[in-house]
Amino acid sequence: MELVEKVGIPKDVWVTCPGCKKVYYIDRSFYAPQFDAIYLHCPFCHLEFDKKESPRTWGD
Amino acid sequence: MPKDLRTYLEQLRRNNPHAILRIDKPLKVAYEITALQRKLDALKKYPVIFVQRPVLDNGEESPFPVVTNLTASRQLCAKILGVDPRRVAMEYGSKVANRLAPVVVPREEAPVKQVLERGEEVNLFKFPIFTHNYMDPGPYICTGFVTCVDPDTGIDNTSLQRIWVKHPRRTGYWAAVSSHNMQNILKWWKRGQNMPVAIWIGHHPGAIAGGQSRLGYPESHYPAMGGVMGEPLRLVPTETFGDELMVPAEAEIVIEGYVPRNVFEAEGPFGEYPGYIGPQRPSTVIEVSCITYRRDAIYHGIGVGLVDTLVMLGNFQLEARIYSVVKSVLPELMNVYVPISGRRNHVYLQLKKTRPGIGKDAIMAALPCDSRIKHVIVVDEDVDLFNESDVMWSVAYRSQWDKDLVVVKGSAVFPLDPSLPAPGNIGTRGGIDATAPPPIGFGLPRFYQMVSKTPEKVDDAIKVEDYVQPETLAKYPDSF
Repeated sequence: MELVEKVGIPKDVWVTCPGCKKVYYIDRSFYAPQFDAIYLHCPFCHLEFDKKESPRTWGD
Repeated sequence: MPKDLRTYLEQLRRNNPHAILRIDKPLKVAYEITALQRKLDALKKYPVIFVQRPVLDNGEESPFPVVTNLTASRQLCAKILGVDPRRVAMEYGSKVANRLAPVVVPREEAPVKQVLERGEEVNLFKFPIFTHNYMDPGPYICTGFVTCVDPDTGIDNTSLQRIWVKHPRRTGYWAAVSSHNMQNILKWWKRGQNMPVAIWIGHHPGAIAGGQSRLGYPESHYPAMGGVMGEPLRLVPTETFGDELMVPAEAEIVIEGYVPRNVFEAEGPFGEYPGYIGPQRPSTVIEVSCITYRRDAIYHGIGVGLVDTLVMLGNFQLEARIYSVVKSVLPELMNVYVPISGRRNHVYLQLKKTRPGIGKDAIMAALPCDSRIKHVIVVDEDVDLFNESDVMWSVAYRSQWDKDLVVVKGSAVFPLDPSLPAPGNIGTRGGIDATAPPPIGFGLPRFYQMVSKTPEKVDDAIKVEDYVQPETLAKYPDSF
């Protein structure tokens, strides 16, 4: 994983909404086993999607 | 007449009418109210803002007016509490300690019970709930005091926590892992049950301040709210849970419901008090069972990430707690200030330095008082603690960072800090001892260079008003 200046391993993961293609960030806890199945919610177009559907993701 | 939001607004109107900005033009709850607050913040002006005609997301004017910026001005907030704005650390704690047992009133005496709506009747979108920042997923209730009960003891806990209204009868609800409410949630879930919850909105600022007091667990906030307000808090049973969950009778709005067991959904992103937009997180939800409210309810909103979130909704409580803890080990502590510039992460301590080393001791005593505290600056008694320019002057000329810096790595911190690396709850905290060395003996001076000043007699004799009129003085240029 690429380290980010100052923070090292970032605690946020940047995802792209597969609907509107806008980018926003989620907490890394979405990758914990107990939360892995939770759908994300695009704050812009309100599409609910699996994080695996994000066409571009940074920091995962 | 019991104290509530209206008695305070009336008192303000009579005694301090210039402190109220009344807006009669329509103003949208989506971003516009927050934008206005943000602009006033930038001008360092903090009137209480009353929006008579808030416009909902559907374009209709809400029948409920809005009050915001209620808790922004330090001077006004201190006045509400009956404390000196420069002595909050010493005086606020005694208000909280002076607990007054709440009283229970019958339903018919509770203004918050004037209207009751259950089931499909409930529509949270009827209230003028703000959408604050451009990346927020929707309207957030940020002045909702979430009250729930420890199932082991029956003792209630109240906390100001954010609530995303995503559906007429369903909300997101983020309770930090370290919060007492989250402890209660986990206890109910362990019993195989949903957690009963009530959210109350709008009350006298004294009650609001008391509701944000830093207490132990489990410990009810209701007696502290009465203590700060100066009269016992009046409570009434909830509609859904009866007297197992009580709410303030003088609140403006109460939302009742459940936190369903083991249900997590995406919540956020949301612009929080640090002034940054926190990430989307897995969070619990609230299924709403009913709402009660005053017929002419006033919706109390706050500017999240603005000064409104900070002064009386966190900083005062931090100052009191830090003072109490540090003073117990360092009697030389004189005062504590949590400046709005640090958004709860900075603490300034003032000491009367009588012996070497106590500057660093003060830092180490203050840091564990709250997980939000990140940087502590210690200054001497001759520094104006509330003047940040003076504090920075101390850092400039009374510290050497190879000797005076305290750095604590791997400390438990509050996760709303964008500079934290993964996993986001461990970080570095510390402080700077910006005090001069103490006198080396009783009756001896400090062996440190003296601060420049003109002779006292000359200083006392020369008065600005003898040379320039106040109205002319006001027109002279500033600097920064």
